[in-house]
Amino acid sequence: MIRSDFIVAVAKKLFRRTMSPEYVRLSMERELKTMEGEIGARIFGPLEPNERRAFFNDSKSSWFFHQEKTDELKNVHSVTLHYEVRPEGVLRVVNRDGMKCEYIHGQELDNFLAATEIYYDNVMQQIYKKSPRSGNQLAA
Amino acid sequence: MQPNANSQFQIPAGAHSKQEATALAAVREAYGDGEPVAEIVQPFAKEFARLDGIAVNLKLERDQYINDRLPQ
Repeated sequence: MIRSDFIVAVAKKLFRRTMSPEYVRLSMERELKTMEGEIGARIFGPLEPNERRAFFNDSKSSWFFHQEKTDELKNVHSVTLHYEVRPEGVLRVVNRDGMKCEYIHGQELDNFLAATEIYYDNVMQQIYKKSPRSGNQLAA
Repeated sequence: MQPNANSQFQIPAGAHSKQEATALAAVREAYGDGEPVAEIVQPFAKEFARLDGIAVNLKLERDQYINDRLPQ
């Protein structure tokens, strides 16, 4: 788990100055999202040895899925999908071979909605130690 | 104004631009605030509310987690 006082102490040693609270806050938020992304990655099944994956909520309307696979020649093949939640639907933005935007529907939309529910349940329980339904603190 | 049968299906569910808002207003003018517009607006409303709720809760949890650990 994140220890902000540890981060501040290390930074003080390294840079001989105190980090601003805002910098610490942003660092912790980034680290929390990384932890959430690792939990999100496991929703999509076990990882292969040559694979990295992340799925996480980045803001009120943004979700990201990122996947990297390294082939036998050590070439890394990656894809990043940005899902933009809008009142009229979920827009998938893919930045590969040019920018492609498309509203998702059918099975892909069902899968996305299911993934966000599982993500929320798992993140609430594993990181924030709370019941995703009641919001109550889980017993230690 | 008399929109043709297909025009109501071309209007995006959440009118979020001036152009879309104008189109939605035109349909309301033609049909009133009754069924046709309600049918257009509702399809994704439940899912949107749920996704919005999840994102808001996660932001609150992150903020609380950080506030609890920030040095005083």
